[in-house]
Amino acid sequence: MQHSFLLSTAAAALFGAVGGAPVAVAQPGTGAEQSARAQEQQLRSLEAQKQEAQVQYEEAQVQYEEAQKARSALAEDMAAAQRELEAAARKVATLSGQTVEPIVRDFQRRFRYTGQRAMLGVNIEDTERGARIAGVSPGGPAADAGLKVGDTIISMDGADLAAPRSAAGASQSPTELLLAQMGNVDPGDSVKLRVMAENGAERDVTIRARQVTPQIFIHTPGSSPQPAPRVFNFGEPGSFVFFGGNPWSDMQLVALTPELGSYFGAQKGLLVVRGPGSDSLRLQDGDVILDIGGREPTTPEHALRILASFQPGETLKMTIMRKQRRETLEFKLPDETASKG
Amino acid sequence: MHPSTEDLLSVRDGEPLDAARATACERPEHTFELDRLRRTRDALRALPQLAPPPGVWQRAVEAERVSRRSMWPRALAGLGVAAAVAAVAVFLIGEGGPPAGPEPAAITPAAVWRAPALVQTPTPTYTSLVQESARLEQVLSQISYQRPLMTGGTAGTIAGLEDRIAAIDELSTYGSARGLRPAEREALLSERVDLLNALVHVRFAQSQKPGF
Repeated sequence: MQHSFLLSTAAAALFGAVGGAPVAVAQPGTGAEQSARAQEQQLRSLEAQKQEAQVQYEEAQVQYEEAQKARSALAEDMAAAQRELEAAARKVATLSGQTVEPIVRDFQRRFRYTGQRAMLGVNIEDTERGARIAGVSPGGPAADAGLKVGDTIISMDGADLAAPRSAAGASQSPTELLLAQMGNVDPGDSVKLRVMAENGAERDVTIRARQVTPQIFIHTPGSSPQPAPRVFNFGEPGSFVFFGGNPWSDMQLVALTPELGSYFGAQKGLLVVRGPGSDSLRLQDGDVILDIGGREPTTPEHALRILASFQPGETLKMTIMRKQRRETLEFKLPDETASKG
Repeated sequence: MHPSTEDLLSVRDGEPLDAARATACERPEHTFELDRLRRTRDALRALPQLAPPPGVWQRAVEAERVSRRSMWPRALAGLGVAAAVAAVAVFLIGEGGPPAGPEPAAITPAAVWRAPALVQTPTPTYTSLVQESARLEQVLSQISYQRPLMTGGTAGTIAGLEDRIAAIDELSTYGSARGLRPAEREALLSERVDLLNALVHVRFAQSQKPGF
């Protein structure tokens, strides 16, 4: 009986120690003994359940940690695979560029071709109605304006591309007419096109012309000077070098949504989720890039395109929001950070 | 009683034929012809449903017009157009469907990863390259990558690929007006396909997130 009393007391103490509800210690006596015995059994049961729950919790914790490790490993694997894929893509593009380099060189020699000033971002072919779009450059001005393969450009800035004769009487193709028109267009200019879809429906489209990327144009002795090299492109003239190995490669960017914008105090811009590794590039986590050299980037690709237009050693001005305050960063781009992608 | 020409045409077109009349004819040559037409009909029915790719008829008509103006005999020109159309058809059948449908299906890894198959064929034709280029543009347009978190490295690679394709397009357009040779035009188009292919893969990989 005394043994039962001590056991129940110890059990009550144990339960209390592990956080259970306080239990009154039974006093000796017939009724009290039964009550104590019942409480003792209840406590043992509760303790067993608690221990079982503890085991389950620990097992679940182990599983969670394993899942976290697996997730982390998967994320790392995916990131590594993505890096390898991008490296392979750059290599494919570089090798592919080398295969057509003789063609470009010969073409440039034959026609003294140094490239148009501005582009629409289409690959066109002649038809009787105008210039039919055989390809739309991804991310280019025409793609942004919603032009598609199969559309036919009937006129440009009011000039009919299907006009069969020039003033001199010589026939001009729609492509020739379009190129002649584009000769008067500068990067940033708006061009009005009349476009016919494949089903015959016509519509007006306004496109903002963009500067042609210079990498493809090969500098040969005697030809006109090439556009200035870009900060991340130090390849031989004519070779196409990506800026995948650029100093901004570790930076993480995302375009602002309205909700994010209200939080960071900006209506538009690019949020720097993670700044570039180099302190000399000045950007920090949480900054919002509003403009780079006066140009407003709309996507991470656009930002990199703008950044790539600055030369090594050139001073770069960037307007940002930092802790909801507008600031202007001004810093010199490093000379030797570029590398082939 | 043996089937008339109209009956045989009905079989060819898949319309029901009076079984009694068809089976009543015991002349071997008619029975043979009937079986041949049935086999042809079944084979035609077994072909996959295909829709012509965008602009194929317009291009065929345009090619035919050009051919008419050329010095080649008209019959030869017609043969060329037929061959081009047949090549497109063979390509489409071989690929299992057109590059673009009225309601394109959601992009899948399979649709992306089969991309290199055609361009790795030993001698892709200009027509097949045009088709592949259009298909890759279609695939690219279906990849959802709106407002993604992106590293500077990925953004630089994508921008570089896009700029390179734009430069190729610019050169091709300029060249078509200045006498770019067919072989040169094909080489540039081949590079365009390579670059588009790389861009599709990079874009698709970028759009994928771990499933947690």
